[in-house]
Amino acid sequence: MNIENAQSQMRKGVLEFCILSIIKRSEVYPSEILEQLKDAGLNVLEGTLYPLLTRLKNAGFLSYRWEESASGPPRKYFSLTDKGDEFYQALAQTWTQLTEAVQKLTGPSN
Amino acid sequence: MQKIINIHLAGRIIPMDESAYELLREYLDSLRKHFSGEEGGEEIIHDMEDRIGELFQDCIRKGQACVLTEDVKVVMSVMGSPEQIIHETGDDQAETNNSEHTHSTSSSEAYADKIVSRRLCRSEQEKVIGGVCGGIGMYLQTDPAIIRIFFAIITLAWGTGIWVYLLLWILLPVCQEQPVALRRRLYRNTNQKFIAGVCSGIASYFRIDPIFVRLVFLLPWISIPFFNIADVSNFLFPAFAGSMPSTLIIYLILWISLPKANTLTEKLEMSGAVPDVHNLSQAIKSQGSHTHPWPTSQSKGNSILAAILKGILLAILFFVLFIFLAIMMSMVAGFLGIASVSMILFPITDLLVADSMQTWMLWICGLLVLVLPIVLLVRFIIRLFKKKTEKRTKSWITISLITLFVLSVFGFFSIVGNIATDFRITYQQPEKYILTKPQKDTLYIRQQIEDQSISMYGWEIDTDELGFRLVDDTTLAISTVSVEIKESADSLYHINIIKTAQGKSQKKAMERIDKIDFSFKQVGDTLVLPKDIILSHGNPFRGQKVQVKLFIPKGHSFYLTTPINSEFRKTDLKINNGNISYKHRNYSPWIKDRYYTVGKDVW
Repeated sequence: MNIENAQSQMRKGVLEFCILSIIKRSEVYPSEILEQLKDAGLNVLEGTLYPLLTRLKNAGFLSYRWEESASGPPRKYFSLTDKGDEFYQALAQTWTQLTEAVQKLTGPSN
Repeated sequence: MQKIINIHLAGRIIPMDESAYELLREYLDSLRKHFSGEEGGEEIIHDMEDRIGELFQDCIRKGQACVLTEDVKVVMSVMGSPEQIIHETGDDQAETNNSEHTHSTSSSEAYADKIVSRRLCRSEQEKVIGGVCGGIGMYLQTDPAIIRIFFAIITLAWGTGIWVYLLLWILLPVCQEQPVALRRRLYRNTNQKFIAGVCSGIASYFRIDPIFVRLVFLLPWISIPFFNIADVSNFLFPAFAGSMPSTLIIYLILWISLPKANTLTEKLEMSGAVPDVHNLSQAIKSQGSHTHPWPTSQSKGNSILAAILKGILLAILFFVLFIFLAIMMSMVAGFLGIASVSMILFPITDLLVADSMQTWMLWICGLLVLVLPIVLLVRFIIRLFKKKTEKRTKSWITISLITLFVLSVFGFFSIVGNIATDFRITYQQPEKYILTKPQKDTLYIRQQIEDQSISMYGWEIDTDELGFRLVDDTTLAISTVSVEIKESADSLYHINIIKTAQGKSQKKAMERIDKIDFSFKQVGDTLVLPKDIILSHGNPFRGQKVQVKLFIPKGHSFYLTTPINSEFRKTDLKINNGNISYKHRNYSPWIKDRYYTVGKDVW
């Protein structure tokens, strides 16, 4: 088994959830999402963001609007739809369950 | 030193140097390829380009003149390599898309499906005459060259190909959607060639081993020893052996018409693979092992055999060409000989052809028909030996020569046909006269030439042999007069003259009959009959003949002072120990200098 493989599998699992959380907090454009991820310490390959964004949008969880920017071409500002919000809630629930279980398993043995 | 290329990335203009551009292009192309099947793939790529552009712009803002290769590498590592991206964002949809795309043949087939035209239409791009074959080729996904060969073959069956082609040309609409050229074309594979790569090219097209194609072409040659050894004599043997020249001719035609697959793209088209990144790189790798011609990779014994076989084939090829050339040349020589002789004997052509214009046309067309193939053949042979330095731009000469040849053939045959139709209708016109009774009840009959005739330019020719003679420079006389003597029904001497002539229509035939001047006269007891019919210039031979029927009453006699033509000349052709001899027979029951009595010798 590959270490990188396992690591990327773990990242894969949470990336969607993290992106949705960022968007839920406020309307953001992709570069901002990348910044926030980096600031939070989640080092992802930037290229992985865009397919996910598009898929989430095609699934109806995200919507965006264009806004002109002073420094260059117009930007996409993403926000959660209602369906996206539901999806987020489900994921959040899963996350809580997951972290609790993992902490229990990796914590000091009682 | 490097070129600067300005690229446009999702709204930003970024200058980058050449190698950076190459690297970026590869990166984006593989990304695009992997996401192209996915819903929203375009959007994904667009967003990525946007981000990449943003990153590049930061480089430029920091003071660089343009984006360099290192910058592209940095961005690629930041964005992630295509494999990594796929991997990290993989879900069911992306995974299945991947597995489809890594299988290049299926992807090329999927690509190919887009290009198959749903409707049968005429191609605007792939056309030689009207694009019919190109359109059919697109529809059936075959090389238009094969369709053209098919049309050429069925044209041999009473011109079917031409009709079908014209029909399709009218009926089929022009293709609306312009498909990207998927080409699976018939090329000559000069990398794997034995003589000219014809068989290899065909084999690549059908994706089989070239050996099979070569066997098909060599089939007639093989069959000869086979059938001799096996000693099986049935109808198959002549069929196989007889196809020898046709396979040779087909090979030659294909050699001339099929182009060589020179560029890498063409080589891929030859086997029907789409020339995309994957296939091209594979092709480059495999090119190393295929640059040797066929025998080299085999054992030494095989290569000697191959060389011998090749030598024999080439020798036979040249032998056939040589014979063909020899035949053509002798035909031309004979033709010229006849032409020069008949220039002297100009009236002979007058015999057949009505006006001089037709005569000239006939000779010119005939000459061209014989000479042009020789010229073309010589050009072809020269080109064979001149190797690669020959430019293709000279092919308009070949085309115009071929066109001239076809026109001459048509012209020749149309004139001949024109003349032939002039013989269509035969018309007869009888005239009846009564002769005065001679004294002593005996009629003297004489057949002679009325006018002065010149001998033909110093040749002493027995005009009886020839059946015609020259009266003067433009007038001919033909001996198509026959005399029959029968018993009269009453006590009068009757002479019936039946004039016959042929023509395109009855009217024409009648005109010609009127032109026949057959004037007999009775001088005392002697009946003088002309021996032949005069045909003047402009009045060609069209089956003009005169039948004289003489009816003499019973009990009277007649005496021939000259031999008379009783029947039309018959010619006996005898072939004797390799000698050919002929003899004219004038069948005549009456000989001269004899008295015949009607009722006793004639009835």
